[in-house]
Amino acid sequence: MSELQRQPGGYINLRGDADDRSFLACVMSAIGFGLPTTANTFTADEEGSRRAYWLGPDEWLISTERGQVSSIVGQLEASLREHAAAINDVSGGYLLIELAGEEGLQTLLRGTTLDIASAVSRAGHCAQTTLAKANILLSCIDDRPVYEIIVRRSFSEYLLRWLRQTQHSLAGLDSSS
Amino acid sequence: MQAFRLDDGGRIDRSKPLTFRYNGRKFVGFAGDTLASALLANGVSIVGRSFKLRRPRGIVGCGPEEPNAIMQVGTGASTEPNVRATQVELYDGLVARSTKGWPGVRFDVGAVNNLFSRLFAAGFYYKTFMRPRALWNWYEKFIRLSAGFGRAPKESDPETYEHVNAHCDVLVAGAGPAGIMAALAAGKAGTRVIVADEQNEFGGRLLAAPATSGECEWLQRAVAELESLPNVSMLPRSTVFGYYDHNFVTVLERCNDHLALDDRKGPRQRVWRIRARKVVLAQGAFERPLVFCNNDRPGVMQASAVSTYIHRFAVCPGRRAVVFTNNDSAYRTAQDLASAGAEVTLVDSRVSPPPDRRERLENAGITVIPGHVVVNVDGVRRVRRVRIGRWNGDLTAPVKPAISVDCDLLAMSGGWSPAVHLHSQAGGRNTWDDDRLCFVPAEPGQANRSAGSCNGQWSLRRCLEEGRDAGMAAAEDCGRQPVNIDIPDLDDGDSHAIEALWRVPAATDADRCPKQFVDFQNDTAVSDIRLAVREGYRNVEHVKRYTALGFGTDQGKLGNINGMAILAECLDQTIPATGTTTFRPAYTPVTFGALAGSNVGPLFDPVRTTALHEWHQAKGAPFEVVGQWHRPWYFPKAGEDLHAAVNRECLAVRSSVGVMDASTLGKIDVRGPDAVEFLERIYTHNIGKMEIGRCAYGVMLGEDGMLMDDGVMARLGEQRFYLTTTTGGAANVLSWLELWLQTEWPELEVYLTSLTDHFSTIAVAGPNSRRVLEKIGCSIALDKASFPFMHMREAELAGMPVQLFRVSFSGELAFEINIDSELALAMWQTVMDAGEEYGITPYGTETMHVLRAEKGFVIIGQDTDGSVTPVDAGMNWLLSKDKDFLGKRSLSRPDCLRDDRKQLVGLTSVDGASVIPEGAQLVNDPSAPKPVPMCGHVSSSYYSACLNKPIALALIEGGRARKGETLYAVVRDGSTIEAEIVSPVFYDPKGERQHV
Repeated sequence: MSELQRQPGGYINLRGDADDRSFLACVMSAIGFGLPTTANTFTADEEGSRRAYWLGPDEWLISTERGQVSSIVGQLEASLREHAAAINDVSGGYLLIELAGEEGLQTLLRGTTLDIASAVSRAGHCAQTTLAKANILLSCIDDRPVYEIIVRRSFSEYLLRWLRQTQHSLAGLDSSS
Repeated sequence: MQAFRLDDGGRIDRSKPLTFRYNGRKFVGFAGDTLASALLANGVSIVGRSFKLRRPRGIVGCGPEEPNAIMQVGTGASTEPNVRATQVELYDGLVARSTKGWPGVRFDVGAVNNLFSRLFAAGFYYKTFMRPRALWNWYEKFIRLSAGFGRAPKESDPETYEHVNAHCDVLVAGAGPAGIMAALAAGKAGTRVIVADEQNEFGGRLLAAPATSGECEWLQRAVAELESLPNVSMLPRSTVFGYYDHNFVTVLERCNDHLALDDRKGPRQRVWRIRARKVVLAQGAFERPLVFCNNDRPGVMQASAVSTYIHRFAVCPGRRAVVFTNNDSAYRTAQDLASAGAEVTLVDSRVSPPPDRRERLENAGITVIPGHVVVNVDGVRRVRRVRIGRWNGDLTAPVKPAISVDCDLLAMSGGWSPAVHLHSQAGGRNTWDDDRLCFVPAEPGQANRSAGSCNGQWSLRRCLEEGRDAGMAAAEDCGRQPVNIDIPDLDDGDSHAIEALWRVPAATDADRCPKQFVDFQNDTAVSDIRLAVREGYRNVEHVKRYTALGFGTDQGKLGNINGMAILAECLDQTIPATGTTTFRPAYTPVTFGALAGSNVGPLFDPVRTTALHEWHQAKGAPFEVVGQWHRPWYFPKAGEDLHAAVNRECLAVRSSVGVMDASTLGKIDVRGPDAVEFLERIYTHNIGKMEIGRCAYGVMLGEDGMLMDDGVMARLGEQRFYLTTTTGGAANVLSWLELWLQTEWPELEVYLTSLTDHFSTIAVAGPNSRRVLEKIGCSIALDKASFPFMHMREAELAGMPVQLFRVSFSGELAFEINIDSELALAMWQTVMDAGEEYGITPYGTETMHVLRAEKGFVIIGQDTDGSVTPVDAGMNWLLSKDKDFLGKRSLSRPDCLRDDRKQLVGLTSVDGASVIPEGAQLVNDPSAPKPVPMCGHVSSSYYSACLNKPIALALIEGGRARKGETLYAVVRDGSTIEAEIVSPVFYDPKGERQHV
């Protein structure tokens, strides 16, 4: 059984008009790569250390190292000065939990109604769904596969408990973690 | 001593004997047995007492339709009631009890009911126990005691359960010949297939074929081939029990129930929640009983079940058998019985049964009596003899018994009813087939197909063909190239002719003859259906409820079609005109544990925690559940109870400084060129006039003008605002705002972002709060002039970036610190350290409530209930006259303008000591004639330590005009507390303390 951990990160919530080419260009110049405009996908910079997840037609979540957040927020604000946009540092609001392999998949199947095989089995795809009774942003970052769960901080303790119990159950152990 | 076990054959493992206890006695069966087959092998003929009449009953079937062998399996907390012995796989150490019969099944005191069976007709309870009305409570105790099957354990369930979600192209329900062919066809075409079957082995009816037959050989090959397909998931011991909209199908998998207790690990049962693109239904069919006098005696069984027990379990349930049929299928049972060494007589209602069939039986030494029917059965604890008479097809002419045959087994076959349950649950209708005498599926209600005997196909070859065709069609629908597969040459040579025989008339008046049972589990007989019709019931659903036909664990799988045919006869109409009752989930009983899955105990509902939760836990704070949040309720010191702790916490805030975790407040960032216009429409006060850096208390109303939520907002920029909402209302408010933006006002360019989880909020309140922050080291000046009340500033506190708000929910000088949740614990600790010299006191929600009540601040949802306007709550000052806002027009409705609406006021107990219970109703005159008119209720009530008296907030009709009057709060024990109506602001009415 893998050891489950909650990791903090850097997150920026961005809202703006995706139909506005100039908005997209300004964001690209600020973060170094383009925002995804296809539903349920994410884009990343070359090193893969920064990502932008599609959350809605006018909303994205940019993830990065925590130390980078204020400079990226600054660059976005400067770049989007002429645009109606909402840039919010939401780093404190999310924690990341990783699941991997067949065990990870089996765990997810016990909590989400999403068809993982067709929704997020390919790298670059993400989905907002529920896992057990918590809202999550789920993505598959490589083909091993490794699944990333981004969950609101206040739900993370509940979710961790659910994940641990489910993994215990999968391992045929008694519940209670 | 397994006296009825055959020497060889069967799918049992004679090298693995299993010991089990039934009604306290020890028995031995074999691996591969069901509890039912093991009981039959051991010659146990009585397995229960009937529901109402307490007649001894034996095993009738071999599947979910079994009406009598209803067991309590297991002991202690894990015991499960209502289990069909026919569906319980035997394991070593199994403990089972009959659920009916007291003191035991062989002798039951209640059997006296049978002597008075005419009294216990349909509607007996309604008619007998209705009067006198007052005695019902007394009757009920005894009726409840004798009702039901088994007992639910009182202990909590130690087992675990889980849910699994799955998606597939093709779901196949049932793995008999049709289901296996469908799964093979769909699987070979490359679709994602799930095939589920309720039994431990795939094969369905083929499991009852002789071991050396071609059927068994094919089955083995076909299952091996299915196993070799990686895209096919096979779920044995898995019942498809529900078919819902959009091809959402639920399956109950019994993971552990077949294992010895020591071998069990992991979840006991699993509910599969499957979304399938296409569904193939191949559930098979149920054999119908025949309806004649005393047809419920132990030893009267379904013919197909007898065959199954012989071939699958190597148990021959009798030595001298009579087979009674109206169709061809039971001829095979007669042969099976003969091959197992039984002496067999076959009684066929048809005058001319197929000659080749008859000849085959007679060559095997079986007596065939055509044109006759079984009229009655002798024997109470077990069939001893059957009475047979000539049948001329006339239901109005009683059949006189002419021949008697001694026997210990009566195998009956009244034809077959397709299991149309899932097809019907999916919204499909059924049509009556006059040749096959059964309901067959008509157009499917969803993307599903029925195949095999659940589609009314009886011949093995047709079942295989239909299964293959359904699998190929489903694969094609999923965009796959269908792959043809050969149909094995397994024609069973059976013809399937049938003649209608819904009941055997034993007397001119069916009410005078011995009981002719239609539904064994509910003791519903022909006479009950006739009575229901005589009393005016016409609709099949009404007759069901009056007679209990089709209730219970089998839900009419055995007796319903017979019952409907008899009802049709009574109503002188056709069977299709009579129709069926509704087929609803669950197909077979499902445990509550399985339905709950892992959502029990601490996982029942999400627990939301703040970034400071562990600190609160370490301090021993009990938690109050607010929405899904767990908030610290109070922080008791050693020996303190709630009241002592709250009094101490309140006084600390009023006299020095307290600190509270307010992180659960909803927080929303609002931005965009139209932010002001948007918020003007949402909130009741003027937004545009707010200066940057200014805070304001605001309320939002529903369209009905009622208070919906409240909170402090701040203007952070020309086009940027920060809103707070109540803890419980956060998600709803965000949805509400998005709803208006997206659907009604899309022209407004405004963006909303939830910051609830990002920011933790630390409220530092009390006269020394400024000193604490100054001591920590703040990047901005905190004095009154530089940072006045109701303003916000961005600053650094102890080097950490924060938003500071000079707002107060306590009425004291106070600051709220918004900080990145990742840094919240560090900040909290910094505040605690700096405050130590001032005796800084952490406080919880209870103290927060007392402090705000002393100031008359309402809590939405506690002091309001969706019927309180801002005017009722005394917030007229918040209602802008210069603009429109949501709910404004509703405030001028005549009802909102009444003088006698309930209005928010304060209350103090006249005795100065009694704390009025929250929720107490208020009356002007407790001695008024009942019902005493109520004039309001108490919404909040506390003991105020700083005022040294109880205080309360109440909603009272026309209350504001009644200040100084007294009235009475009615306590649950009937006593009253006299209270005076006062202003709701008890403390610092001028608000000077928060402005310092």
